[in-house]
Amino acid sequence: MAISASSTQGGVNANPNVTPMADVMLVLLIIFMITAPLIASGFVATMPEGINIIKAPEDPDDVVLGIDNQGTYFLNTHKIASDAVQGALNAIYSARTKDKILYLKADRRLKMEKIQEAIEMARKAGVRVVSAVTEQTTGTQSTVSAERPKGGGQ
Amino acid sequence: MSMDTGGGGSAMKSEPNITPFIDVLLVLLVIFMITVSVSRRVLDIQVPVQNKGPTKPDPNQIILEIKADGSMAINTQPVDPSGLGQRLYEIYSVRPDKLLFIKADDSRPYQDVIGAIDVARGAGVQVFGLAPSTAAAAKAGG
Repeated sequence: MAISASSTQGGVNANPNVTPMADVMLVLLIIFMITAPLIASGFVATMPEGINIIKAPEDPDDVVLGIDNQGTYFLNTHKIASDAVQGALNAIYSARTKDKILYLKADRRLKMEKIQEAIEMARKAGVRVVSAVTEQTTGTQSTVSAERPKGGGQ
Repeated sequence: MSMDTGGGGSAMKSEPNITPFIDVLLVLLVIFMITVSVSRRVLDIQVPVQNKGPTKPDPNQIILEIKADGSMAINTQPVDPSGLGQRLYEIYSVRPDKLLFIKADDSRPYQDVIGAIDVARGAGVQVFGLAPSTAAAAKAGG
């Protein structure tokens, strides 16, 4: 019998098994490595909340303009000076034939003045739809269709 | 019981221990399940094409105004923010075009406008336009 044999040999093994813990730590390390550039960029903003919002799966080709709670602009997660935004948007959208959507990630407490300024720059660059990135209010579900209407994004 | 006393036997167990590997895969699965469920949500706002000449306001269009003090008005008629959804539903249930313009004061927070669009979408509005603020319009003209 194995059990009786082992107990006579050396007694109970008191060393904790650290292998699962090491596995979890490695996964956490990977997660933090992925999220670190996002945190390091300094983009701090709380998205506005909504209930009847549209699902828009992320696409690497999307143009995302962020405005953090200090009013700093971020174009595709890179910080950009406010007077350089217009030129950068012009360059992107003049070469873009696919769709003219700009995803706007702006802090919920920003004044509309700032948002209007961003939308005005987008309009001049040829953007047709500004998609305001929002978050579902916790515990709610959309009462209308959450699918983007066909052709609505063009 | 030859297997149980394997240590004493001659046969060496050559299968790799895949349990930690499965643990890692399960954790990754959970992470991806979370990230997929919180995929991006948006509200679309149409941006008007620049008009050269002065535009003639359409008498049938609906404009929701959010004033500096937070009060709201639909086509200059004051409306209670809590009854906004009901009022918009009454208007849009009989209208073929589901278009709403929003004119917000520059000092209002962004959340107010998104909140109004959200309520309006729940009331059946499908297309949203944002009226340019007076300051932005003046800047664009000058």
